[in-house]
Amino acid sequence: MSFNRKKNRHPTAQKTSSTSKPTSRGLEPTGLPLLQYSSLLGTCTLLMGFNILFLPRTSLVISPLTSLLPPPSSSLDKPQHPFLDPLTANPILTTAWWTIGAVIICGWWAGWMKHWYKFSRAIKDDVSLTPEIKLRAHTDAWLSTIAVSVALYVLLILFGAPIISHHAQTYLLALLVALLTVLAPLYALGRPNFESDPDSMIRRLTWFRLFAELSPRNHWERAAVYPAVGSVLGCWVSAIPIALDWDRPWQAWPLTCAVGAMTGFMFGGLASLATNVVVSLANEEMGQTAAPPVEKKRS
Amino acid sequence: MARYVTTIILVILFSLHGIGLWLFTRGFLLTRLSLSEISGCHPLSQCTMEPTHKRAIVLIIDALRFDFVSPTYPSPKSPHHHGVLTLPGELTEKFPDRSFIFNAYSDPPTTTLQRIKGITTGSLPTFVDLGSNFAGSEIDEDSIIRQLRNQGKKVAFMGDDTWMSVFPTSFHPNMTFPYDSFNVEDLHTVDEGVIRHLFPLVTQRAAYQWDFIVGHFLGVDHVGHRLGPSHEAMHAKLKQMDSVLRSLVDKIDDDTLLVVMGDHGMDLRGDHGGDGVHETSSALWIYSKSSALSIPTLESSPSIPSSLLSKTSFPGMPNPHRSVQQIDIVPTLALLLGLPIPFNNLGTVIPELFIRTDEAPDLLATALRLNGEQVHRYLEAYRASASGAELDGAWEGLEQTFAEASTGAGHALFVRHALIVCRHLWAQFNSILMILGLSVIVASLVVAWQFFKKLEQLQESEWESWTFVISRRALIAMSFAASLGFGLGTLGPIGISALELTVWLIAAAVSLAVIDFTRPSFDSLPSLPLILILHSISFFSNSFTFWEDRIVLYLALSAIAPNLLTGISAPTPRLRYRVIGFSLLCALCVRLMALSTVCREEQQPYCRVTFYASSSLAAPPLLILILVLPVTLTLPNTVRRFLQISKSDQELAPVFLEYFFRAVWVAGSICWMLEWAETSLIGGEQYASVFRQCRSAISWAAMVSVSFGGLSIWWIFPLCLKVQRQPPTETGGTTQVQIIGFANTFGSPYLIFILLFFSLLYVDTQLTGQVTLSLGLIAFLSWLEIVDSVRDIKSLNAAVAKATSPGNAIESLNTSPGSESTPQFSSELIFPSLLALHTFFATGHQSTFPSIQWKTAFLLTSSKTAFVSPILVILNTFGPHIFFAMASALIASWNVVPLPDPSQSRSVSKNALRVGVGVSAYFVSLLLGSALAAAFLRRHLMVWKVFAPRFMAAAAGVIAVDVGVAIGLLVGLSRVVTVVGRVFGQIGSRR
Repeated sequence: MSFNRKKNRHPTAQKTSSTSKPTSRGLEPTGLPLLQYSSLLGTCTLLMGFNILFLPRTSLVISPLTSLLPPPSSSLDKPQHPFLDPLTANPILTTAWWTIGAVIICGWWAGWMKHWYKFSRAIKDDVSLTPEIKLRAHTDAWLSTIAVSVALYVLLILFGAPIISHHAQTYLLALLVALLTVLAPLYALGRPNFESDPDSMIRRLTWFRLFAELSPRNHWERAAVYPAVGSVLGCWVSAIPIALDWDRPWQAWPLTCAVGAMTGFMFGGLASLATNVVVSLANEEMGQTAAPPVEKKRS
Repeated sequence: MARYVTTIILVILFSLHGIGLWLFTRGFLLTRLSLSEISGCHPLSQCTMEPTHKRAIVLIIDALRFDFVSPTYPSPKSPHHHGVLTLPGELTEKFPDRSFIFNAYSDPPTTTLQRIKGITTGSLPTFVDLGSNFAGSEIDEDSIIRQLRNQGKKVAFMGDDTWMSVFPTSFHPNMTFPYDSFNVEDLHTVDEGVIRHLFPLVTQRAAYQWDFIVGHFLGVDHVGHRLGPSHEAMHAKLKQMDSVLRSLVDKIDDDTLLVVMGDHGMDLRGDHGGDGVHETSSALWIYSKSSALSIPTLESSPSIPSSLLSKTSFPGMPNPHRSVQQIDIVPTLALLLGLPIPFNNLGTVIPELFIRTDEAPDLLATALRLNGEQVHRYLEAYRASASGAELDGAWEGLEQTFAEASTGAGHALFVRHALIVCRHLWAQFNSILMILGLSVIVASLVVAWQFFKKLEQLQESEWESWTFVISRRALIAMSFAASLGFGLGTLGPIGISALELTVWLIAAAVSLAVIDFTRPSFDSLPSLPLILILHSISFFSNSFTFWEDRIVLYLALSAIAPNLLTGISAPTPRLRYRVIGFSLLCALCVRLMALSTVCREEQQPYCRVTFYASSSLAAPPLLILILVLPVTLTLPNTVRRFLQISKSDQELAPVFLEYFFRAVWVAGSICWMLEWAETSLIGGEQYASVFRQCRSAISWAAMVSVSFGGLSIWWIFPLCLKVQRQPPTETGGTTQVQIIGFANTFGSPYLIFILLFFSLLYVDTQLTGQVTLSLGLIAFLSWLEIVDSVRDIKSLNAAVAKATSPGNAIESLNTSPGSESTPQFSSELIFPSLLALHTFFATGHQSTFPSIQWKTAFLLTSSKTAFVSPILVILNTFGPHIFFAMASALIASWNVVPLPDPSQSRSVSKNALRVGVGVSAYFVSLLLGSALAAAFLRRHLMVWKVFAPRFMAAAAGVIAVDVGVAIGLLVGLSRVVTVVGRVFGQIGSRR
């Protein structure tokens, strides 16, 4: 009985792999446009870096917010660089700014990811799509991101985030990680559901393959999975310095984890670019020697 | 057969652990040579001063912290212990020239035996002495008691019998009144005994002719250990001490000097042993009834340089207070009584007691000169001794300070300098032994890895013969090494003894024999145990060691989380829900366990004590008092629910869980609720002894019925199987035999076996710990289900990948049993190891001495017994290690079917051995990390506070895990395998 699903799995697995085949030949129109991807990825990385270092300083400009900042603590025996003061003064405010920044950057990036997804699948922009459907795609993605952030919030608490205090900090971090990891795939692929029509099934299996088995098979999938994995790993690793007894303001929860997640996102993006370039170069090399591909019709 | 093979492998591995630990410990723990010279008087030189008093009474109020008697209090002021013992403050206010209060620094370890040695000899304790606190040991060094005896003076003693082990023959036989010191439950007997014998001596001095009285009160310390300093009992106790002192001050004559002191302080919860500021700040009050020792206008007097009057702030107090070293009392008392200063003394005379008039500052200069000369004599003698080379590095500086000392202040400077130098030096380590020990620990890890890999590769039939081959090789190597070692040992000294060299050579030879035979294979390196590596290297940072309880939670969750991903991509919905559901349950239990903690001192202010009601009250929190009975009552149902998954909730299991275990666990909870009722005096004083007797009786009944009744019933019928026979149907066929619980034939009886040990631990754990233990058990059972399901997923995926069609996949699954998968270290064994440590922390322990729960020593009896009490404390502390080491064998035996008969039994034995080796390797690598950290950082400021205690906890943890693995495999599992073989061997042959 339980193997029925197994049987079903095979054809779909073949299907997804075959659709991805053409894209793995980098220069074909169905692949990720590497040039555009690399330039926009550079922009995204720069924006994220700006977000980490400069966006929270906005509090200094907006006068109602300056009152929320405590005066820089100068009595410490190990004074920190004044550049960091506005970042560490109020961790909630700082994380909130980072989240706002991430909403903008990741929202913009999600649009491009969707564009490239359609491009890699050679899906034409359907003119018949009503604004309602487009809007639903948007709200679906954002609401699902919020749902994921709630799950992440629970996960963070399980990992040892405080249970009775610091809820705002923990939730903002969860939201930030959710934005970095799932917003773009949600918008591009659509939310997975448990209905049994073939479309839903393919989508669900793609989600499982990408984010549970962590096995991306083409350029676009790498571009989606690597930053997500990078964010999670970055967030995990950056919890380590919190325990050190250095008494530095930047060790406050959740600053290190938030910075780690965003840095992981940036490095994940760069890693996906590097891998994609290497793979395309290798494919090109092989494409010159191997027999010309025959499987053109499917796309 | 399998049992002998298991024994051989465990013996090889565990003796390597033992040898490594033994060598490292011999090199690491401190030694100081004690010189037996006695200070005497030469006719030509002055050896002491004119006495101010003929007699002295030294009263030690155990654990009298400085703020208990100080005239100012830290904020917030406690109504229970501040401003209660007010006599010293009042008298100092009134007679500043005759009464003095000091904040005295007690050298750690702040345990009574070490402090008695310090107070009488003026020397520094070494860390090794800590272990001998229960045994005591005679002082063979010079001491103030020795000096009194040399002068033919009579010394009277009453109170804590630790003194008798230190000075067995020094006290006057008619005036010696020792009382048992380790009965923490008894708050009054010792104190009443001291009071009863003290006053007759004081009032009828003519009859007794004593010269010196030592009285040692224990009540304050016992109240601290048992109830904490913030309890009414502490108020009553201090009030009693106050009234004793008041009447004593009334009754002593003018020639008697009164000294009242704490041997050490107590931390906020009332325990001591470490070097926290609350533990090292003890009170010292000196009172002279008639003659002035000092001048009233001391502060403004030019005769004392202010450098001699150091001050420190007690935490929370607004102003710093005059502070001394506790050992300073030794030279001070000696000179005030006209005795030579004891030979080994490193204390400085307390200057204000030697300023009698403004005109005669020579007195102080003389006292300090005598003090300086004595210390110099001591250092010279030490340098001439066998261990004299220790002083080489610092000798020049010492000599120079001494040569430059012409004034009193100069001598004081020299003595303090000598104290600092000696504190540094007597952290003396033997690096060769430490390196040898570490090398054996590393070798044991490599050997464990070899066993782990080799047992995976070998077939069930091969590994027994393989073990005999390596054991033969090991024996030959061992005998060569032993003869070589004794041969070399006679060659001459090379820094280590012949025994140590031989033992190391044996360990090296055995490891080489095993390692060489199996050849290192590096194919397993890709699955790097990241969590294990992070955990082991974390001990190099004091911060990570402080916060290890939170780090273990984080790592444990990191070990669970990957299963969520596996679960999501599971091929069938049933497996998906099982993996995700049990992972969440497991994670939830682990997280809830982490809510219970006794904070380390260093975790403040970021930690709140939740194991007890508060940081200063050693009672369970209210929530736990409400929760513990429901949790205990439903735990058997939860365990049954887990057994029902494999339908192995048959025969023995329901009987044991429903009646026996439920009764024992509830008895355990009731014992500790009675303890709570007893200490918080519910129903008044008169019921306390009733509660005490009830809980002794209940805990005896529970412990005895588990260790004899439960174990023997299990031994006779361990299996949880039910056999149903169905008669042949009308259409024909033979009798059908259906065995219910077949799928978990090995796991269910073994679970009952480890639950027997769990019950002992449960009864020996305080209420909060009982709740966290229950959660730990549920987390572990969930982990078994996760591991089982993940193995199913893997074999299903593998079968699908191999099969050409879906039909083939099912076929190939049916032909190959699921037990084919062998235990994996990173994904399966790390979590149980972390869970053991997590439970250790969640049951109110930390890697510090004060967190040892001495209360549990009195679970069965109201006074300390030589055999039972230490076992109970060890069981309470390292029970979680032992339990999860035993339980880990379930990873190899859970949901394994017994047929085909001999091969399945063998495979279970083999895999369980691998699990045991793996889990023990986890703890050995923690030991390696903490030993390396302690060795590298041995000059670190915090070595005795952080790194050495963690190393000791790791060493004890390895021993506990080894014991657990040995009991589990050699007693529990081997019995299960034997009985299963008997039952299914028959079935197989009948078929």
